[in-house]
Amino acid sequence: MAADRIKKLQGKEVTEKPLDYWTDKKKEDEDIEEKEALIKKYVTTPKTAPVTETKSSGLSRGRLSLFIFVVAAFFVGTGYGIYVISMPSNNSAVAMTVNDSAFPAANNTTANKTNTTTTKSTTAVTTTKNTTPSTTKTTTSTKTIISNNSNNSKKSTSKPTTNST
Amino acid sequence: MRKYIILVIFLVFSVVLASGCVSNNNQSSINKTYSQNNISFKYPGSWEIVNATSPNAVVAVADPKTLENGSPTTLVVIQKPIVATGSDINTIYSSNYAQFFNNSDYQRVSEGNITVNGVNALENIYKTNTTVSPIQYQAIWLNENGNIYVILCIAKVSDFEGQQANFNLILDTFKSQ
Repeated sequence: MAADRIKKLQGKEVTEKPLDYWTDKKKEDEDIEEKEALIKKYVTTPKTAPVTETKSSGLSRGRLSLFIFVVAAFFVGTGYGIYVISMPSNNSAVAMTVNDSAFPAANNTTANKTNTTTTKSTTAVTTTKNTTPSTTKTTTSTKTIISNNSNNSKKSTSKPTTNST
Repeated sequence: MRKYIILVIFLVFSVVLASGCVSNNNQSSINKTYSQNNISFKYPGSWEIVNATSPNAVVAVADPKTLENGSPTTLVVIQKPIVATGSDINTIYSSNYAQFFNNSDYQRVSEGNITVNGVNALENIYKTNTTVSPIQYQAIWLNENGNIYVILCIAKVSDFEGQQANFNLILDTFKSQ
């Protein structure tokens, strides 16, 4: 506007703008202001994002230890379980004893065996006298018979001894 | 990475818990088989073979959970009476119990003929006269292949009915070779 007045004073031609131009311009300005107001109201600019730390590709020491512990525990537990299942049971026929029977209690009629010892001694003496030459024969026979009721018999026989003079 | 670790831990725990439950159940549910001394039979997986000092005992199996003072209260003893070949089982049975019940510790419950695994057998059920924890006996006498066997099933009177399925397992699978 001021520029137009200066131009008028200088005698230059000033293109007269129609009234609509100014109304449109005012409207455009109002729209821009309105848009800016809406943007201010509803559009929030993101805060300054924190600097993302580059994560290390490996596990931390604690986590790695935990992982190793869990895996080790799994294999140790599984191994022990297999060992226990496959282990033959040692407690069978050891801890428990039974004496129940469908038969009546046996009578205690154990025969008392009597051992008998018989000793037989036989001594036979034979003397033969001749005038010439003189010969004396002595024959001794001893028999010992040991027997018992169980038909076990022991016999000992001493050979006859002959003494000649 | 953290997700993977949690997943691994979860899987490990799941496998351990599941396998523990499954294996434990299977272990006791699988029947065991005894096959020695010319006889064979099946018995419950949780039972054990025990020392039998009974006269002419072939084998004894018992439930270790019923152990009292070193002896189980639920058990089965298999005995083989020494008799001449071709002996009549009825005669041996009768003479046995004629003498057996002279002992006033026992009281007859029932007696009869039954069929065990397709074989005719004699059954004698009796119990002890004790008032505290009386014991019930089921003696099955059978002649298999010319051999006489006595299968003696024993349990507390209060437990006997509950143990009948285990006794039947042994009786139904008993075979003389």
